[in-house]
Amino acid sequence: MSSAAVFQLEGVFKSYGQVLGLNDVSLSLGPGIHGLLGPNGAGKSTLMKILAGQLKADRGRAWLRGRPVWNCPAGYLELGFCPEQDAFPPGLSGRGFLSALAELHGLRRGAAPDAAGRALERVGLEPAVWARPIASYSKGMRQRLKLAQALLHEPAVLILDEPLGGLDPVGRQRLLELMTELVAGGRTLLVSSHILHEIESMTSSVVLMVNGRVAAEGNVHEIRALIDRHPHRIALRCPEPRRLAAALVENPDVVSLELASDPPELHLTTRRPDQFYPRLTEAVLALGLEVERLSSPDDNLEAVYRYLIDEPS
Amino acid sequence: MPAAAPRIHPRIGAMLRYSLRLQLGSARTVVLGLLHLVPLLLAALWWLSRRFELLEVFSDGRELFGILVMTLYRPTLLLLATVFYGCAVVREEVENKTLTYLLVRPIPKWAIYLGRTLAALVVVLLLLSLSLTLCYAVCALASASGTFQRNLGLLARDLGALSLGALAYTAVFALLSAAFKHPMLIGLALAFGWENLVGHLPWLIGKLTLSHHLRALLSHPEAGGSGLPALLARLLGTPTPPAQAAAVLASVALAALALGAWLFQHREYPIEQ
Repeated sequence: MSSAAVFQLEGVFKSYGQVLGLNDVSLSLGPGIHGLLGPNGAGKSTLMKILAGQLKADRGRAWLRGRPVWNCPAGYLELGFCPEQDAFPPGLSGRGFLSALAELHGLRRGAAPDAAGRALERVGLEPAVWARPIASYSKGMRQRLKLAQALLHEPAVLILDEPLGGLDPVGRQRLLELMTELVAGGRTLLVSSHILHEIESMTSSVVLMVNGRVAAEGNVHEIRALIDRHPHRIALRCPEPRRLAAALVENPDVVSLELASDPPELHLTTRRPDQFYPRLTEAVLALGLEVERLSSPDDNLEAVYRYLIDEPS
Repeated sequence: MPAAAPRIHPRIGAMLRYSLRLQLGSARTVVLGLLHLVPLLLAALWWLSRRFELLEVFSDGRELFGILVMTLYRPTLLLLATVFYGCAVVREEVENKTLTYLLVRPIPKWAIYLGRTLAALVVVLLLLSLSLTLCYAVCALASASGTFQRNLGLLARDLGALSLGALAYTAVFALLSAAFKHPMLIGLALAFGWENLVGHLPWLIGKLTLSHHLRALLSHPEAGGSGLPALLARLLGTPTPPAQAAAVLASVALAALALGAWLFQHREYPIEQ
């Protein structure tokens, strides 16, 4: 077990009857913000619930900051968990709900409403709605309330299961800012989503899950390097793309070349980007071309994710 | 927030208050509250019929009170209330998908279970004691017998016996709630099949029910019930001494509470998405 690890899993299996939720998952994540990605049914929620002590692994072990997570109530002093389900106890107001939970954290009855108010303020819920029944809240307000209950006791570690689901763009932006603020304050976050750009806008440290397994883990660029069977795509905009294509067609690292007309671009693929980029620079300099734009459409999560879903490891 | 794990008792108290608040505001409480008015209505009707000399049934309030206790409170209202509140202890939170919010707090699971079971018991006792006391008052006011009016010991004994029964039944149904996915069906079968039918059978088999022991604590021989099972019980049954019956009920309650808390502590309750 790594001493620096905040989240750690070792050979974890979890099944629901005949369905395998997690299949031999081992993982170690340090401080900071980590994105947990994968399509529906990939095992993200199961993994998070095991890390939050809500589910028991059939086999293997899980730790949070070196402490076993199952049946360890003291661990919840430093962990906040925001579940995926959009459900709240009936008949309570936002403030009443959080006050009751604050009392479960050991706060006195007189102090609990203040703690609840601070958490509600933090997630941007207006004081005017605090006393309203939760049933009258919008989806975005309920999503913020879920986050507020996770932040209530100011934990050092947060596990957030699809926290941005159902939020409008403004609410989404506000929550992204809040999460960035939380990490800046020294907290560690594990955030799941099946929407790639959400995670990409938060962090470059990702865990990709497919079919109950960790398909890839680490920095998005490192993950991309792991997928060497898939050609790396490069898009290059310059005044004479045809001349550049002619110069590169003999290069053994080039797999395919394509000319786009609007805008005029050269699209090429290579299996060995590390070797190819210096050759590309040489060719551009030799031809005296002025490159307007060079991009790699594969150097983002969307591409990595797509590859992994197409070809689970 | 406190940095160290806070003491357990205030947190059980917090769990109790939170659950009570949810239970008291629930539709279940409204329905069961209305059902607990039924014996009151019957007593009031009897009072009116006596006053206006419409119908001559039951010689005095004591007889009516005994019949209401033995035919409505014990075999119907007590069982209904404890089934509905007891079976909700765990399952309601699972079905509402709100159990997660409780399980991510620095409080042992057994304490959550205990707090919720206590809340269920408090609501059952509130309903029962309010209804029974008012029913007694109506019967006593309308009764011609002055001794019944002064015999508050009868009410106290019935309240005590029904409270002990409520404790045992709530603990058993809460255990079902911790053990099974659909505890309500099993609870209803147990309450109105096993308890109400088998409880009247003679010899040992009858003693295997809680209702047998509860009947031994309730002091209404004038309302011994009717029908074949009751007749058999009177002919062949060996009565259990009240002290023994109370000990059995208390032991069952403690055992069910302990087992339920242990189960809740060690089982997982997946929330279906």
